[in-house]
Amino acid sequence: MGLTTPETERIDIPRPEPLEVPAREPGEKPVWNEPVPVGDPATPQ
Amino acid sequence: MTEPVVGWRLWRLRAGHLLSWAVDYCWEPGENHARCIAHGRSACIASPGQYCQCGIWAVWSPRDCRERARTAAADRSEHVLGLIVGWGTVAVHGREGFRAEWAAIRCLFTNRPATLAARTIGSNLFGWWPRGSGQAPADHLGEPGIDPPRWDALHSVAARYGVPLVSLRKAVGMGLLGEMGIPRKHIAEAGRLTGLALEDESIG
Repeated sequence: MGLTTPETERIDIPRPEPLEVPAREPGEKPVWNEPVPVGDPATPQ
Repeated sequence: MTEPVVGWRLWRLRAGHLLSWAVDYCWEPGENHARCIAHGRSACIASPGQYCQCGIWAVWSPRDCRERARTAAADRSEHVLGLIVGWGTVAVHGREGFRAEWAAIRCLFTNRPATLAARTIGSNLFGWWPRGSGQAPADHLGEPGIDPPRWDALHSVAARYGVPLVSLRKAVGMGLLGEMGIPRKHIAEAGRLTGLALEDESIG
């Protein structure tokens, strides 16, 4: 299932900046981010 | 428009992976690159093709996503709703959505997309659970009860893809959708799908 209406515009968008992970203390639970993202430097691996 | 586009889409959840809704493609964590999977003709050199439907699609409206889930023939229990960002060459399809050359998942939602705002006579505060069934405790995200196997599967897949997993209601209430670039009218629409009566003007 894709889109059903015709293409109306074509644009070029640059690659976004890497997503920022809010800084927090080790062990502190994120407000909404659940589960903790892989690779979060604030989280022991 | 130079910011990445943000849209709603659906996946099928199987064995801890998110599969494309329309084609045989398993999403990768992080960046995904579109390619044309043409049948019966030569594939587009670059995707999204101008006279093709290839590319990584998403729609602007969460309600549109809900309708697609409702009309799907496959097992609804495996449907997953989420947000993606798209960039690179992006084919915009008016008020419907877009097809992007590159995309990444930003967020997954715990809700069953086909049952959003399915409240009818006989339903209760918890939405699609039958009144008095006694089996619909709100989960800790404030959403209708989710059966444990689906809950476990959603947690696993969100961890695999390294993205937030949240209920749509909570995403609206905490301003997460606004942070992710969803326009006010669609935040309000998402709120209505989860039973929140929001006016566009009330969304900061």
